[in-house]
Amino acid sequence: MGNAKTNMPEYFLKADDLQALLSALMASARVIAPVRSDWEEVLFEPIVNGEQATFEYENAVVSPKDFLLPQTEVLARYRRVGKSYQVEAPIEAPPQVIAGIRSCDLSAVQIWDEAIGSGEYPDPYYLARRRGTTFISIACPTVFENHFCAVLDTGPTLQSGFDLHLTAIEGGYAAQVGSDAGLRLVTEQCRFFRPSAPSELQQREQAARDAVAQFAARFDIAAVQRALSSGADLDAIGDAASRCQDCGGCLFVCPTCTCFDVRDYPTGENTGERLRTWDTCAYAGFTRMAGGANPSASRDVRVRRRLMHKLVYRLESEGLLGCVGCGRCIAACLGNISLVDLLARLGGQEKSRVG
Amino acid sequence: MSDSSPYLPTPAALSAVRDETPDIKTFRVQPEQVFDYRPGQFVMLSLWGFGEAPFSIASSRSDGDTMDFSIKRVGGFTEQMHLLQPGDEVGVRGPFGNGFDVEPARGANLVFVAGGIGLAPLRALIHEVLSRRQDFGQIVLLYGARTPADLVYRDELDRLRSRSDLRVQLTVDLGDGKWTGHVGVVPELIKKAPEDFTRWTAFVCGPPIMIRFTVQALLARGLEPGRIVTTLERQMQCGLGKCGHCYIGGKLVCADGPVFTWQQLQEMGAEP
Repeated sequence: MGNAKTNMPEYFLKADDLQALLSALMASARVIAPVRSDWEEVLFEPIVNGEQATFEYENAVVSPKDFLLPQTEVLARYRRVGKSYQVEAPIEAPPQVIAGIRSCDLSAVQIWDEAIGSGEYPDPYYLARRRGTTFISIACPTVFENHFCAVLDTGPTLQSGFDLHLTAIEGGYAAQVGSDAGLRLVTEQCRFFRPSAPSELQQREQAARDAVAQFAARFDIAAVQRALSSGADLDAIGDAASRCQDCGGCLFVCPTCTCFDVRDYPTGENTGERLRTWDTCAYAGFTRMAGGANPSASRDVRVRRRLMHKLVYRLESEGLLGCVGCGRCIAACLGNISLVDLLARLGGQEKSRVG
Repeated sequence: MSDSSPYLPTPAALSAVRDETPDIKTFRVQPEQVFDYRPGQFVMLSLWGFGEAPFSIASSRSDGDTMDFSIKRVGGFTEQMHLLQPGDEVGVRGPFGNGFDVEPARGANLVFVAGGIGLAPLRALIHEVLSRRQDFGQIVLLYGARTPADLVYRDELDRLRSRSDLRVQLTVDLGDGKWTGHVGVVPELIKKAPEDFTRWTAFVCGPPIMIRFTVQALLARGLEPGRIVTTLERQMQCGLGKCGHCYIGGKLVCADGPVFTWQQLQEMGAEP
């Protein structure tokens, strides 16, 4: 689990060795990496060979959230015996390596840690997986379409949160160690790594500066927060609500969303499972109570609430913005609602350039 | 495998089931492990195969080791609850939420205002307050339901009405042939009350619209927003502050509530 380590060593990894490294890691852990499908989409998948992984990609269609907070997971299994029940909670977490995760998605992990892994009831299902997960992140060399991480300080490169952070430089990758787990990985796989030369450190720093320089300042997040918190009717919210199709797509692809639904599914006459499944506040039914009362029946209320939760409330309750600037919600929206444009408008700026 | 999951309920046997109204029953349960709770807190009741739903605890810890839940039949889970018989097993997770804090009202006069099944969480508080009656001043209970048949805890209300140390007044929206009491909505009882409510503390629970009109009537009688206390219903699914369904402004009803003062709700820009 990656906390910032200021004086951790840096290494050089040859470009040709990255896939071999992943193959070597498979001896002791499940390895999840970006894989390009036959349809040219890149998705995080468990791999059986390092050669399946691609590192020439913008960002995966969805974040690797599913491997720490599965879209559906079993909270408990029950078996009826007479009038009583035998119940067990399957908390299982084989070790896994998530390789190729971008800075934005890794920033979302910190939000999961706060929202799900902390508080009065730290979630044991999540924490078991989290403790068994090693992150090998990769810095973005350039601005990808719809991305605005630099505005939110969640990329294109990172200072902490990773176990090992890769930045492409001449001939390979600069590898920054961010945790004891990262150091252990480098030590155990030492045949792939050598200490960085001073020129390689400079290249890594230059690559980070070059990537940041490509981001235009698209909106002022403080101005957006002031506008949302004012409580005033906002045309930008009304316009977004009028185009929202209630599909929830924006939130199902959102790496920071952590809300869920709990339901029982019988698997037999006397057996069944209690499942936790991703859910979204975009749905009118999210807040509807038995009996029909619904405090968030209006779409305007829900659109505003979504933005307030991500941009204001999470900062108050968890100390982190609930948006990492990955832009996936923009790609997913059936109503062509662009979060970047919406934020620019809320922040009182001109309609922004995108991409 | 681990048994440390906060999602695993404590088994609890139903020890009694009582019909309150045509669609409300009160269930008395005996959890395998007894736990402490405060009036106004809630639990997730669990029926394996049907899921979980949040219910406020209608009893007070001062009543003993069992817990009471008054449940209206309004959906799939509650219909299943209504089929249960004494001896059947349910699950209990909790207690959750902040509950009522009566300490600031020690020595003060108290008015309880309930609509329909909203009397359930207030019943817990009334039991607690009456178990230490000397700590409080005057006590008034104003309670209304749609019809006489929809009033819950009829025997208990009769017992309370026979006491000299509190005033109980009932009302119904619509009388029947036998009803000789007040007819009208609950806020009318506040408007007509002989007490000077100015420095009183009010505890309010009922449907959202009833809460809104009741609070307006209480404010009109001079109660301070910080002394009007209400408890809210939301679609709690986890009780652990995680699932998100019970959001209210930037807070969660399961963790920060369900009890809020009217002043807090106004500061949050939230509706009951």
